[in-house]
Amino acid sequence: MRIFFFSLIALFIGSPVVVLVGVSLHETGQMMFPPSNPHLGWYIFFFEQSQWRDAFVRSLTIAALSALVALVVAVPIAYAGWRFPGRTVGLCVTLAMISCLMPAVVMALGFLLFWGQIGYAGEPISIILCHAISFVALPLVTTSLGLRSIDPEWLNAAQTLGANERARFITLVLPYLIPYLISGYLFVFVLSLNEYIIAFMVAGFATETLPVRVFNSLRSGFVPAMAVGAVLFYLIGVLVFALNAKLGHLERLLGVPRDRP
Amino acid sequence: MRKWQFNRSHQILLFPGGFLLLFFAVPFLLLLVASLGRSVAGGDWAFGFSAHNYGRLYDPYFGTSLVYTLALALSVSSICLVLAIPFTWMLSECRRRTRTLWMVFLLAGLTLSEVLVAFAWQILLSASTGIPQLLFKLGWTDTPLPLQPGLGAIMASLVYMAFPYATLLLYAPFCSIDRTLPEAARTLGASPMKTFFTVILPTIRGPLVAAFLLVFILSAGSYVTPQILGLPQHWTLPVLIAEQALYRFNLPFASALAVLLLIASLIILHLAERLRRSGPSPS
Repeated sequence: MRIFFFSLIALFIGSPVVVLVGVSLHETGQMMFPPSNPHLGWYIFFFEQSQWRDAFVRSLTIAALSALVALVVAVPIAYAGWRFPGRTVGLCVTLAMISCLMPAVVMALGFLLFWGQIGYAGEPISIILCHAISFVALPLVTTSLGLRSIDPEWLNAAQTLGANERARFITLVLPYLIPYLISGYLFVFVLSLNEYIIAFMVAGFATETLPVRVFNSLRSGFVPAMAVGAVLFYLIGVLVFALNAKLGHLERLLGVPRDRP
Repeated sequence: MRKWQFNRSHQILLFPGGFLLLFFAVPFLLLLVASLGRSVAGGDWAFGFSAHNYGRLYDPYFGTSLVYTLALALSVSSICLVLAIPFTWMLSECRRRTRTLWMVFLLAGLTLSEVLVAFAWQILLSASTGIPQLLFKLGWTDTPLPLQPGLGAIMASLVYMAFPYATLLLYAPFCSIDRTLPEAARTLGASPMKTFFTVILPTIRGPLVAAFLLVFILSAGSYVTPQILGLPQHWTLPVLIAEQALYRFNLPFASALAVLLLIASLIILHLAERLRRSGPSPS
């Protein structure tokens, strides 16, 4: 019974991935599945065509930077919430959480108006900041989870030994937090990679990320190259999360208590 | 109330708080302001104070679209939870290795963009490829019947997008349930089904509502999927919002539509929160 249900779910989750892999290996430019005469030609095409390659590199850069910004914003809020709970922190947490509870299109329109007024609509920097804001809740949650598992007695001990706030943060809290920071970073990275509507509305006419590029080319016709990017991203995802699981943090990051067998 | 003074916490929060205010609160307020403004030729807009844009919302076209969008999002979240709840519960009882493998599989799915998921479903459901061909070759249908474009295709793709999120949100709560609770219920004579519905589900009511809401917000904001897998009559409110903003150059009216979508979503969030609080047992 369980095996049957699990297989159905695996089929449901897996089949679109199989389709994308199949399409990316297809010989001609037709939309066909299963592929006839599989080859890697479209992967070469993807990296030779500057339009595709640039969109791919641009997406990776934007994701890497927006994840960094999200982390830099989230960590102080999580730390302040843990060390000095109060009304100001509460307000910051609320703002960060609301940003991920709004329908994406509402956020996207607000961002478009904002960057349009400033005159930076269409610039990659505006996508980076918008993605950082939209996904800031994730590193906030993972960092808070990490902080909650630190024993406050350690801080007291460090203080007794003469460490000030800064020293305690750098030598005690930060090393302990690193796995949680990495996973918070990776979550934002992955979500930013495939985010469409915000990237499109804020800068789609000037700066094409890979999802925007795929949708634009889908409108004008089918090219198997669009599946190549998806397969590459998927492989990055498998690698990233398998590594996370190998290091043994995956379950704790999702909030599972440590004593689970 | 104590007098507000600048302390350590405020020093730490200066940058993140300022960042959130400038790049999140200001754009959001600008959206509210723009919805009261008027559009100017050339795609720009001007400040103003009129309810004109909101008056235009009183149109059956947008009303129908709003109801359709909400109904679509509610059905997607319901289907998604009906699949995710038993799945996550069974998963939480598996061995560690099995659980980790599934988690990596589910998380990797998050790297697929909405555009590509919808595209993959388009191939899977087209008459010339995928499932219709399979059914035809198996002799179950007389001709390959296309399953897209249509509402079913949109819902399949949206459930697909939302499933990993729902599972990941429910995973920790299911794992943290005290295993002696269902045992006690079974000892007292409850069937496995009854135990599941009367003991296990009520203890995780909070996370259940949270997962439902997250999936609801994700699907209510879907923009790409209805366009790839649907006909114009299947387009959701976000598609109309983006169309007003980007192709009809009417930012104020797009803002009013966005405010409408936001208010409708807030009402659903509020109702769900009340449902969570009004349950029979405290959780």
